[in-house]
Amino acid sequence: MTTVTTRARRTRQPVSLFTLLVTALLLLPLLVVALAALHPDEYLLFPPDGISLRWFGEALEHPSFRRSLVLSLQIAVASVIVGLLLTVPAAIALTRGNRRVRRTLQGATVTPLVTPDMLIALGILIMLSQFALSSSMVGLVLGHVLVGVPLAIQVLVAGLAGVDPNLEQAAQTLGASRTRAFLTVTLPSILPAIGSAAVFLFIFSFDNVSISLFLASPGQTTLPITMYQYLEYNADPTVAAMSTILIVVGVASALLLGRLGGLGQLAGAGRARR
Amino acid sequence: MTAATDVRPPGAAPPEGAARRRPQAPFGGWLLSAPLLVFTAAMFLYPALSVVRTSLAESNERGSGGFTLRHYADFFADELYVRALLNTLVIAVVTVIITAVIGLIFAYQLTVRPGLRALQISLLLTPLLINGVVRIFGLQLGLISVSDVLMWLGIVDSPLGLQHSMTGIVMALVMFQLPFMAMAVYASLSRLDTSVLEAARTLGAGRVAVITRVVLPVAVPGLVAGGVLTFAAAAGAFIVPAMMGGGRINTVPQMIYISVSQSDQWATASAFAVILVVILLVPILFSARWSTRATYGGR
Repeated sequence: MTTVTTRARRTRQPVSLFTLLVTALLLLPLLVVALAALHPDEYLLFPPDGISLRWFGEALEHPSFRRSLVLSLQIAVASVIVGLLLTVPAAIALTRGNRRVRRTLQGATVTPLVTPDMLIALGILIMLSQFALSSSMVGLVLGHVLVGVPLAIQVLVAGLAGVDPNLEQAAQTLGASRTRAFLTVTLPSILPAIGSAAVFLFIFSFDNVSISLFLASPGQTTLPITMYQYLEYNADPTVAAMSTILIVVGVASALLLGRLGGLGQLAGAGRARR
Repeated sequence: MTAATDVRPPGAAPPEGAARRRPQAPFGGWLLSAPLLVFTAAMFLYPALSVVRTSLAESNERGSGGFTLRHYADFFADELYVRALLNTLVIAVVTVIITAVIGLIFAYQLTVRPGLRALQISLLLTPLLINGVVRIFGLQLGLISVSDVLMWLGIVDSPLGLQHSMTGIVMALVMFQLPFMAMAVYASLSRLDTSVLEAARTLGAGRVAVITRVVLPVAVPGLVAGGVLTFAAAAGAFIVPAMMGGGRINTVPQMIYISVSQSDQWATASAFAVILVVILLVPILFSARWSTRATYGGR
């Protein structure tokens, strides 16, 4: 519907300078970091007085950055898998279950959404210590999944709502079993939504600071935590280059979500996950 | 009537019995929702109750039993903690006000001047996918550059030092929360008929009157929803005051982190956490009550 109206009114709509300015101001800090990373000397200078890519190599070679980047990627991938296994069935229950199921699920996903991350992290930390679980990996993955779940569910429910239930019904009328009708008719049409949910679960885990800060053990810190600790003592082109790599990851996720149609759902996430 | 014979134009009202034909999940959906419900109970409900229990424990040792309200009393008796609480509240309230004002103007402008709307919304949302530490680092570098330019122009004599101040903390929080606020208000304003604005103008309403009498009432649900979430995010933020405060401005979340990480004071940290949750609940309950009244026509 939106696309139709946009197309109909395409004849020179006025553009607001205010919104352009605000959007640019929000993007400016990212540009500053990316340009500072190009400065060839060993101190930060903006704007840079030369162009060099050497710090990108240094950042990826830096032992603790490298170790935490690998850990962050592992945790993010695990979060995607665990997150999808939990949210895809729940999203189906939300669209096709009875009213009590729907209400329970909504309560279960909304409450963690309005709770600050660090309180969730403190609770998980206390729980892990009660059960004497030393592995921080499990805690990190499950903690990251918890904060990614509300948005993943929202995207999946929107995807399922867009599927015409008559198609699945038709497949059943033509002799497919209920499971087969779902797997062959409905599932393929919600693949973009599953993709969007996966990207959100990945990036919310990969970017998470508050939960990781509490749950990471000294030898096993995720990349955002390593960078935060590094920045406490030095701000140099190495960390600017690593930051630029993270900016690229974020922008790539945005483009991917744009293709999959999930980017707009981000507005409903309510707040930044810090 | 079977689905195969059901031929009707898209968008037409569903025929009789359509509700019955909506695919139903087996066991009413309980089986499919079980993994997530168990997960939430184990990773959210139980930990939350553990925090409350720990906050009432006799001593700060792990797994200590007993019952006391001492840790709550300690909080309000210590000037440092009360100071941190006040800082947290000031930061959160100022952040909500600034974010609401900019968010309202942004959403209004995007409604009345919708050129490049899709692109602008995408660009507004993209930073939300970028790491928070990176964004704060960028803001710090940007503020240093601004300060340098102002000094070079002779407008100020000394560096502004915004990258380590209360102002800096609020700036960073506004940067993080603005997209959510703007989109929440924008969603509310989508119910605004722009011809009503023209009608108000034709009938002689000034610019200010149009905003306060026509736009603002429609924007209120978005402002309230955005405001509540911004308050929660600002009051619960750890990394922003930690990086932008330069170690000089304490907030409750920082107190919680320090209590756990530096001195293993589990009960103290848990009591602080419960106090923070209570603070966050105030605007949520207030807004729920307020919006109920608004819905039922009260003023």
